[in-house]
Amino acid sequence: MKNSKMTPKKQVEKNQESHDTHVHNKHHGHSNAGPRNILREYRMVLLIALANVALWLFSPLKAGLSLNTTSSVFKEMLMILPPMFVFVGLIDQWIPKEIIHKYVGKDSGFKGTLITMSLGSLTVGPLYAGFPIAAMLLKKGARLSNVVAFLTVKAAAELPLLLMETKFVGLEFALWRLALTFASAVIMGRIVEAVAQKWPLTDRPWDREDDLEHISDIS
Amino acid sequence: MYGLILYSLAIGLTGWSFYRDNEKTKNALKVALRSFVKILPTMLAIVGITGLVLAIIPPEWISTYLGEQAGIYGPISAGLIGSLTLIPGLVAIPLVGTIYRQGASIYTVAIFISTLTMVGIVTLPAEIEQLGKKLAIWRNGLSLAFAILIALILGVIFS
Repeated sequence: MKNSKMTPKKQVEKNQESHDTHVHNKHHGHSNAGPRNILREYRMVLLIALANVALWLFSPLKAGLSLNTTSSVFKEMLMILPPMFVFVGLIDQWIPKEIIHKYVGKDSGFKGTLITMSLGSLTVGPLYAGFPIAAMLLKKGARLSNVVAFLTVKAAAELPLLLMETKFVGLEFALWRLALTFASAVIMGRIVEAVAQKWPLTDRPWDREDDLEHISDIS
Repeated sequence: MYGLILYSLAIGLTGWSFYRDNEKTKNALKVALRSFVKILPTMLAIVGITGLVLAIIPPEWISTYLGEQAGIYGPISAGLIGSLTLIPGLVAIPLVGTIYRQGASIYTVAIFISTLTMVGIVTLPAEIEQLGKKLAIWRNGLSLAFAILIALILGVIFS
């Protein structure tokens, strides 16, 4: 039913992909934003709010602490996440698949890994800010091992973190950890790729092409 | 500060993009908004859980369980806390520095930094949403293994 909305060309593309489509359909269901769905999507947030109320009854001081941390982490998130998504949108529209494929794709070799790792080290923000970028890279045809290396480096060896570590723990320690992290990033990428070759990744959210389709429905 | 740079960069690039092609820019912003709205409930939950966890387990508790007197349990609890929580780097690294100067072992420090940054149980829902269950779980599992390995090597080098 959902497929009928797609153009024939897209349908062919979808059919060529080996992974099962019921995963997609399940997620398609998410996109109708009724009040019921919103309530379901935010059920965790509601539970946490209730937990905070319970904590307040038990100890107002702790609840205040919790809300304080929540608001400061929330502010940090607002500093980083919205621009990240703007970058993702711009990459989606401006950078053709061929470019990503050429520089960080299957045949990009070790140079491709170096490029993604530099990208990971230079971008700022917590690990979760890297997920949308990683998904976009995968969607555009980046090599899986390179994307895993990107995430590992982004997580453990980004520049601001290293500067802090140098200040509080020591330069030599930070440099050794940096070197070991880069080595691990490369090895982990290769392992994940080998695993994915043996047991193909069946849930591939980045392949859901519903983003633009849904948008053209609205406009 | 980073936020300022990121926002300026995002606004600048969007302006450039709009100047070049406003249709593409509109689509880009729609993609951005849609992805953001989609991930928002998960992110808010992560933020809320972090607040609750840090309120119930205060930082002083962490320094007691990771410090000098923690002994062999130091690295183990460091790994557990590091994997579970999402303490912002700005809070975590100075904390680690303090623990280190108070006499925590280098293994504890190394494993705490590595797991804290590489393994994210709390952010797993967000990762699953964007990258799929299989990839997210493999990535985190391997990250845990490599975080321990890195910590062991660092421990040997610096002891």
